[in-house]
Amino acid sequence: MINKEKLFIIFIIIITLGGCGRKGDLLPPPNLTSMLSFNSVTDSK
Amino acid sequence: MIDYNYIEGNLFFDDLNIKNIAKEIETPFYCYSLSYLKNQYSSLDNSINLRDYEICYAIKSNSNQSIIKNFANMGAGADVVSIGEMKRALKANIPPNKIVFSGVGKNPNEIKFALNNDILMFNVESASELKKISDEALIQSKRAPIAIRINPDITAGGNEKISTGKAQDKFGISWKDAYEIYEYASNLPGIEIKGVDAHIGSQINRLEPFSHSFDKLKEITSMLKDKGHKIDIIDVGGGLGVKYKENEEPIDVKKYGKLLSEKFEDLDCKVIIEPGRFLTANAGILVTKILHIKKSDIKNFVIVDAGMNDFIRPTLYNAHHNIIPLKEPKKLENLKCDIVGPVCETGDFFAKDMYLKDINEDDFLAICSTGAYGSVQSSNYNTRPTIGELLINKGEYEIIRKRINEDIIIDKDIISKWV
Repeated sequence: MINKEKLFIIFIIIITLGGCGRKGDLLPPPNLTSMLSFNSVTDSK
Repeated sequence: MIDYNYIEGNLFFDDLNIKNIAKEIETPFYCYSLSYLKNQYSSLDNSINLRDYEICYAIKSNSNQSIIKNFANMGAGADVVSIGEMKRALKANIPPNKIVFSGVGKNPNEIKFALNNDILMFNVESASELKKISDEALIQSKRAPIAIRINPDITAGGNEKISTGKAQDKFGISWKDAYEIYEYASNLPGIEIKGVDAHIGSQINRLEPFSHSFDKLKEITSMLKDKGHKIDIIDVGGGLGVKYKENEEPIDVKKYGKLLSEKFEDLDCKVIIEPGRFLTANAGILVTKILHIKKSDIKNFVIVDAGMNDFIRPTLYNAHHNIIPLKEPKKLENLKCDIVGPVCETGDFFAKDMYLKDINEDDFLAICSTGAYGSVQSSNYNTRPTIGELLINKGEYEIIRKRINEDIIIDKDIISKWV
């Protein structure tokens, strides 16, 4: 018999694996844009 | 900053109704004003009162052949950072003896090509590079003319964008190591020391950082001359700021020219200036069409047909660019919105929380001040086309780069024999 706890763990594993191959709509960390702005030092003239 | 005027409800850019072009040419596209480009160059040229100087246009800011050719016709040299830019400069008839080759990562092929073409000089950024240039020069039985890029350690108000003169950045050589590296250079058989170079950063709107940098350059030049090095050229780099925002005060070019002239008039040297953004930024607009207006309780999005692949400055530097509709707004109500592109990235935006009046789907917008570091930084991400570029002159326009559609991009791929 599989108890509820094991079922929950299996559910989490399925969700995680399913998410690995997800395409498109990349969601960078919320602060990525500001990180880029801060770190990107341009040598433009 | 260039004037944008509404005449009978339509935006005119350099005496041309942009909406009429947008009906003929597929959006998005870049549009440049020839008169603005000429005026900017002349204003800088006229501000300088030195016996011997060269304005070397920083091609990386906008490398379209027509733009380079215009400056070449006006007497400009070129500041290049790759073999590609060098070829562009030569093709636009910039004489080799007016070309300076900058950049931290020159490869052997580029060094060979530059030596073959007898350019004015290499701006060198490391000892390793010096050795490789010397070796190649010896193969060609030449001595390579060089300047070494020195970081003058200038800080000005903590602005990150003018920080390329700092030790933690990859550019240049520390001021403290200047003497040692010039000694090293003087002992390399394939090297001929011609000058010193500095570039303290970009979008500088105050004179003080320039003043400090010029003083440091004079100090270094004097020190090197005292040690017996022959310094004929002082390259002060670029960095002249422009007006991107309404409340921004751009650098006064007359004061810049006066400062430059006063600082270097007593030195028996050629002075090189490397402007890029100053000449091109406000000469350009990016014209785009509104595809969808997506409203919600939390946020409104105006989705346009230009993407971060076409113009990446807002994403990369959080840069501000004014955005104005081609149709003069009649209604007063404001829509608070983000203006975003179609690319599959949340970073694909041109403005956040801005207010637009009286806009509808299929209307056109102009993203302003996009003449510098716009088209040159574009890509084909999401298999999106390389968009067209137009030049405007006296109420007419010409296509100066054709749009490269997705089919041509796809055709560049080669299907492997293993698949």
